[in-house]
Amino acid sequence: MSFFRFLLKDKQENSQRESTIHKQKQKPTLEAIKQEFSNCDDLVEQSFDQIGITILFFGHLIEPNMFNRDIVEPLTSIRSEEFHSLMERKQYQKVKTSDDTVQAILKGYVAIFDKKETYIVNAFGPKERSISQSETESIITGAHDSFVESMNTNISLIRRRLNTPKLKVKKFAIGDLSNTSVFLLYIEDIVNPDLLKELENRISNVKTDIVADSSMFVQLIDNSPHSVFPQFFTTERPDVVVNKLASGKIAGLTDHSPNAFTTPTNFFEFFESPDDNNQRWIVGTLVKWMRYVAFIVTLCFTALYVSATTYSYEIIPQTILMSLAESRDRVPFPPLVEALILEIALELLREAGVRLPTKIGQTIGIVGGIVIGQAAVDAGLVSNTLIIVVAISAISSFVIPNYILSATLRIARFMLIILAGAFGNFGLVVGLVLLIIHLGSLTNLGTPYVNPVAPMHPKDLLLYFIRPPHGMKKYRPTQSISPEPDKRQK
Amino acid sequence: MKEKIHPFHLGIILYMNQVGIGLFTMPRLVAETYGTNGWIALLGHYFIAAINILLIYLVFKWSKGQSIFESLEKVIPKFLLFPIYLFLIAQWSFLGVILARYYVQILQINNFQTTNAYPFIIIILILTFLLVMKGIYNISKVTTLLFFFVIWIVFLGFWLIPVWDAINFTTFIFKGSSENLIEGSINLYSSFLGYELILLFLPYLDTKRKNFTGVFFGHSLTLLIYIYTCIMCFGFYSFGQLLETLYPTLVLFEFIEFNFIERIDALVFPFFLSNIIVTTTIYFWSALEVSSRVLPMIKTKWLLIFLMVVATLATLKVDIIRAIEAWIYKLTILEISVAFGLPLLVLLVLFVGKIKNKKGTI
Repeated sequence: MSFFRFLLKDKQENSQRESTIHKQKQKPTLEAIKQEFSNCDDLVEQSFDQIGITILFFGHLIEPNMFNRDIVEPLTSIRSEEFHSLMERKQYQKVKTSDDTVQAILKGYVAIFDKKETYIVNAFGPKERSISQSETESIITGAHDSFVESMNTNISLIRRRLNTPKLKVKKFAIGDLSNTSVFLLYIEDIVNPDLLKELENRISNVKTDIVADSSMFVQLIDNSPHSVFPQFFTTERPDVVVNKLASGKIAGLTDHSPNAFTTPTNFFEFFESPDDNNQRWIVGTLVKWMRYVAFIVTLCFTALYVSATTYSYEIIPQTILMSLAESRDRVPFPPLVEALILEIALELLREAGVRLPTKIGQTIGIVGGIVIGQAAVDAGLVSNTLIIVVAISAISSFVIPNYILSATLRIARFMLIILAGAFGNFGLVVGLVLLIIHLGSLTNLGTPYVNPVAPMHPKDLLLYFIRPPHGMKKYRPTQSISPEPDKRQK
Repeated sequence: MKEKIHPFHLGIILYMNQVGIGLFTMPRLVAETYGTNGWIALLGHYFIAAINILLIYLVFKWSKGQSIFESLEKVIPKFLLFPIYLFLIAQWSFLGVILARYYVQILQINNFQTTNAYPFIIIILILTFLLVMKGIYNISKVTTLLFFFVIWIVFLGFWLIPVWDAINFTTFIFKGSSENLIEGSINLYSSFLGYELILLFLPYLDTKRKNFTGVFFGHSLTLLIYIYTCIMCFGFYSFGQLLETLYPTLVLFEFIEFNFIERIDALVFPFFLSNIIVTTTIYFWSALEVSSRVLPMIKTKWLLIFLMVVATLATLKVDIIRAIEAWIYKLTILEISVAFGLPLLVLLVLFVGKIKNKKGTI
């Protein structure tokens, strides 16, 4: 019986589906479209009674000047018999199905309903943020523009910098509800076609309701969704995207997102900043090295403090040991608890600072960092040595140019602190080995995440660990290049 | 396409597999066995191992990169091979666990003297499990990262140059050598073992590449590090001191001081966990490769857990350094037999196979 019910349900579903398809394919009429948008109070209906025309549109999606120029002025200045000759102008398109009409209205077109035919005209131009400086990837020298939420503006920022027809753009529509446009950009002849195909396959297989941002979208197409490490490089800066494209990588832009993603990427790319290219190469190289030092410090410094003060006092020279012992004299907690309290307090401060307006955020920094810090030391809750250690670790985490990696490292730091508190230096090394095992097995689009160290590509090491003089940059990274690469940078 | 291991990474795997806990006792063992300037004798060990590697190279050439198990099973019935397989599984699983135990025992000399050793052993086995399950290509990548994670320690030796004195070498060569030369040599040879597992890597190598250049690079790097360590110790300690110091390399680090850190032996020794992880991983991976021939129907994850649990339980009573060293000595003798015997057996089988093929074609 249930089998028959199942069949019956199936039949009902089929008939529903057929009726939807039929609706989508039926000729668009004003009533049918209004029915589709029932209960959408933001839909505007305007009639031009003298010529018997009605238009439908979303007022917030259109640009008023364009609307006046292409719709209001022409329709108010013609007679009814002139309507069809007006519609022959190239900006007006005839639509044949209800579905096309609905989609067009949703994308900022104005639908014009005659008694027999339906036309659409593009008037899209909502208010958008103007191009401004990037707040998360600010630099000192070089271009200061950053992506905005508008796809057209973002692509134009890239095209302006890459005046070549070899820059190709592929469009995908992702999200059952949001129907968000995702664009893939690459340079023909340089890109690795296998990687491009793999990325296209992954994007085509995404099943989601909405795509809110590039940083969210890449989590739907990465290899290890449970990893704490970012597996796609995301940036707000068009100059960074252009550099990546020129090195054979693929860039992705998501509509309504000020972030672009690039792939294939590797761990060491997250330590690069556009400033490196604008500096003299020796200075750029030293700054790059400083970031790697900051990476080690932010990961290990607090954990090493916990380990040394819990198990290995012998590694601290006697001169430092005296002042350290004095500072810890009144602290009632073991080093692990003391460090965790302070690290969590710092994370709270940081998170509060991010959410609050800039001016109040600064106040929070002063109150939290200086007032509470000093009071905590005076009260004997934490040692001032630990405050120095935690502050240096926190500052080092901000040296890492990529915010997502920086946040990841802060989480990894907690793991190391706990392991160091439990097993001393051995625990610290266990944590680091665990991270290495994890990093070593991560991939981005099937390419190793720790490239060019493993697998080893000595020429690429120069690209990632020093900033070579621009005249010597003749090779593209092995990770991204086409099997038959055009080796010259130009 | 199945990823192949690059010769460079093969060399690094070999180096990381060879250099391990033996580095800490080696200068004393060299002094005990060969006497003054005994480090020269390491060259002999190097060449014996190199001859053994050449045998493996011949296997690679003759079998054209085929798995040794496939070569063996083509000629010898599987039921006859089973005892050999079971022996190899036990041998390599025990070696993996015993080396981890040895490392933990030495670790506990400095710290955690009263703590039970098992939490440390279990941590090492968990890390090993995670790494083995990633597959050999990922193991090679992680091993390369771990190599760079520990190699900086070599440069710490430069801080000892002011206290290093060539006069400690004396003008004598091999004076005061041990009467029990064979036992000492076997103990020292254990520091070169690990190359025999290259036999299992053959199907993962690209036949077009110069894989054995990589192997000899790794093997030579091992020798270089051993000689460097011995020279540092022979120049730092007097011969008498060297004989009396249980872990001379470890004690050496105690004398390195910086303005902000001293007694770095407490920091450096945990870093050698990387070498231990690689060694136990490669041994367990090898045991797993053989196990998959015996029990192909069981998932590798469960096989590996079974091997780890059995090997740990079987060595439960081996919990003092003297007992561990006795086990290592016995396992080394068996491993040397495997290192020479297995490639010879495969070569013989390949030879018989070729003769059979020729007769077939005639």
